[in-house]
Amino acid sequence: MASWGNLQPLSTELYTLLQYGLFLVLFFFLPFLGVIIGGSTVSLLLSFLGKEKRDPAYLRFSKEMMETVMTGKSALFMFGLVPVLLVWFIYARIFFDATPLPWHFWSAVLAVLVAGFALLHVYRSAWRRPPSPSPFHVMSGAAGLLALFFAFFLFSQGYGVLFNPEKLSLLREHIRFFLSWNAVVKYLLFLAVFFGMTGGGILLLGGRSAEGKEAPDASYRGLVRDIGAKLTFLATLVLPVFVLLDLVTLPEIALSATVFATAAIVLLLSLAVCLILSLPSGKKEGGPGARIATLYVLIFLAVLVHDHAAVGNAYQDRIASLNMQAKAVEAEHAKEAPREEPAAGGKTAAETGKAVFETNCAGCHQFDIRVVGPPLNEVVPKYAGDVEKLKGFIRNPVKVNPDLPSMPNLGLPEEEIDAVARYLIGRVKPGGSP
Amino acid sequence: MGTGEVRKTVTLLAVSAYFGVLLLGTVGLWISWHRAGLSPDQPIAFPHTIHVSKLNLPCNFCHIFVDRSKHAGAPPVEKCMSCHRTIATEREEIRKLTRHYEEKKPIEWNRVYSLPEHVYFSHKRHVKAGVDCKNCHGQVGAMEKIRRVSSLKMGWCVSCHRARGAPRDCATCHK
Ligand code: HEC
Ligand code: HEC
Ligand code: HEC
Ligand code: HEC
Ligand code: HEC
Ligand code: HEC
Repeated sequence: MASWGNLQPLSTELYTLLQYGLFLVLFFFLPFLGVIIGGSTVSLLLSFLGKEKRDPAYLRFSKEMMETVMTGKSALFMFGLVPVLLVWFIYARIFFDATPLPWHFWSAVLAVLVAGFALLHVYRSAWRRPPSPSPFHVMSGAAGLLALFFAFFLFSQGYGVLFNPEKLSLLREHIRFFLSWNAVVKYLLFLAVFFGMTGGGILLLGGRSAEGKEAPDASYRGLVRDIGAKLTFLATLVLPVFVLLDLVTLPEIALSATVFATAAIVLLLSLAVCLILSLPSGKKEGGPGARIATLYVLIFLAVLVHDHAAVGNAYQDRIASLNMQAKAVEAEHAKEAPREEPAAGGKTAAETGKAVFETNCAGCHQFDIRVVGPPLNEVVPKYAGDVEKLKGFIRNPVKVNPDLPSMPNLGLPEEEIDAVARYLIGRVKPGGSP
Repeated sequence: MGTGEVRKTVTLLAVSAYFGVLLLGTVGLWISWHRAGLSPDQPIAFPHTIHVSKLNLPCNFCHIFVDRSKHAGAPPVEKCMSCHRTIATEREEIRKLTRHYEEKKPIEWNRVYSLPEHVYFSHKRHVKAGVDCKNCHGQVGAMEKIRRVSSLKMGWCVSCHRARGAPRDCATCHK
């Protein structure tokens, strides 16, 4: 744990990069997981229904669905598990001073995901032995699906942490602050997108088998398209409710015009999907599949842009602060570059003094000109090498020159006062410039 | 019109009405968020960035009561003028400042953080207990313009009190 907590602070570029990286990972991970969740749900429901109604078309589609969404083991590993590791890493880097989510959390997500994938694989392989999977296989499929739902719930709660910096400092010690309504809403929102996407995919592929063969009989194609259309329509009707609830539950500081505008865009795109689906199709060759699928890609993108903007807002002051620190460091380097670098080793007293000066005094003082305070070349010689007297002034500044404002008491620790006083006396030789 | 036509029209209308209501809801939330004003405009655009991060002024140089009283307090105009009699006097914002000073008119800053009357809050207790300004006000030194970063909801106060073992009975904050 400690090793994650002690990571060095980041530069702003890296911070921004990580933030984009996070959403890039999600851009691949979520649809992958989403289609598995959506497809397995459809497959399991159809295998129940197919047995009840004794309709072979249901069973056939159930099988094809499973074979399409459950890809090979290496794809599952690459797109289903590796992204979680990446997100884990990015989180540890983004929250370098808080590390809100311990490794237990990420390991739990991974373990449940692996279990879910394995159980679904058992279910999928059962389809290879006709006529249809045994109750045992169906049960293992259902258990695998539940595991995926649960893993994604955990993942969403972790994701929700990103949007609420107010809670970060509390999370470190008290994992109970981990649950939030906003994350629950986000979970449901993503599930709606997953099912909508799956439905869109069904409409697009329209009864083609995993090998890409077009189903020959029109009645089977009709059944498949009907299922796809109903699924998308229902998912797209509930999606906007969660979009609205998300706006209600997001902390105020995560909101901005962009966040509202992207929410409105998701609503408009969803409206388009529903309108296309409620107009009778079939006249045009191929049906609405391509249009729906495209709209769903746009919906998903808009949701990610929405979240990305919200995270940016929530950490606005923090990012700005990193930016200023980075600039200060850069300026520091630029100043030092032409000068001789001192030999390696511990910091010398003069270096400490100079560092204290740069961070605490340079805003108001320069040596040769007046800034807020007087030019030091003029005032330091007054102390004639008396370090204690100068320390006394820095420790507790008194009014000296009525034409100047008073110098504030900076409340520096004693060693810094000592270092900076010695630095000034050393740098401005008495009598050097009166 | 056949029944098919009618049904189609009804579905289209129902779907549009449903989404219309949700869109109105979004716009409503947008407006209410906009009104809530996390970052109100100030009579003088005072940048904490310059004064805190560049000049390294400590917070209590200006908010002088923060470790002694309930309120942190805004600095009097005289305090600003101790520097701005000579610094950046030609800038528009500093001219405004000078006008306030000459007319002996205090600046009416718009409050960014404020609790309802019935809540008792004291800066002194928190500062003395070592709670950093950052925990409640964020990275002020990086804010060109102050933006409220905490919700100021009861849940927020109470969860920090729980995490830090501070008192949580109602009378602590409701006198
Ligand atoms: C907020 C601006 C500010 C900062 C920060 C600041 N000073 Fe000053 N300093 C002043 C002003 C204003 C005066 C003139 C005070 C007077 O004449 O009453 C002054 C005066 C001085 C003097 C001359 C005192 C004299 O006897 O005339 C010294 C020496 C000095 N500062 C050192 C420091 C050192 C060292 C630091 C950093 C640790 C520092 N100052 C930080 C504003 C500042
Ligand atoms: C040079 C004087 C000065 C210094 C130093 C200063 N402030 Fe301020 N602060 C002001 C003024 C003036 C205002 C009112 C104008 C505004 O809100 O921007 C203010 C407003 C605020 C507010 C908003 C108050 C409200 O609710 O309206 C907060 C919070 C705040 N300051 C925190 C800090 C913190 C934290 C620090 C130290 C890191 C700090 N300030 C340092 C002058 C200062
Ligand atoms: C310790 C000295 C000091 C004090 C006290 C101080 N300021 Fe400043 N202020 C500065 C300096 C230095 C600058 C930077 C001027 C520049 O950009 O060259 C500045 C800049 C500003 C600016 C930005 C001017 C512009 O448009 O670029 C404003 C506004 C301002 N101060 C307002 C205030 C107010 C209001 C107060 C009182 C709450 C105050 N200052 C107190 C030193 C001070
Ligand atoms: C425990 C949280 C907390 C901490 C820590 C804290 N504040 Fe505040 N601050 C508040 C709250 C809450 C308000 C609103 C108070 C009210 O309305 O009575 C506030 C208001 C203010 C205000 C404007 C109103 C006033 O009281 O004059 C200023 C200025 C301010 N704080 C500055 C600071 C500074 C500077 C520090 C650090 C030394 C600090 N605060 C630390 C919570 C905090
Ligand atoms: C970041 C953490 C934090 C937040 C946020 C916070 N407090 Fe506190 N508060 C503390 C701590 C720590 C103490 C204990 C101080 C002590 O031991 O004297 C405390 C003490 C107090 C006390 C004095 C208790 C007593 O013994 O009489 C009051 C009143 C209080 N807080 C009110 C509030 C209110 C109201 C809010 C929300 C607006 C708030 N606090 C938010 C950390 C916090
Ligand atoms: C740590 C401080 C703190 C403690 C302890 C606390 N409250 Fe509050 N309470 C607040 C704050 C701050 C608000 C203002 C919230 C707001 O404006 O939304 C508030 C508001 C309220 C309100 C008004 C509700 C509203 O939304 O305006 C009620 C009622 C209330 N508190 C009851 C209680 C009761 C009962 C307890 C004891 C179990 C309690 N409070 C303990 C800080 C506290």
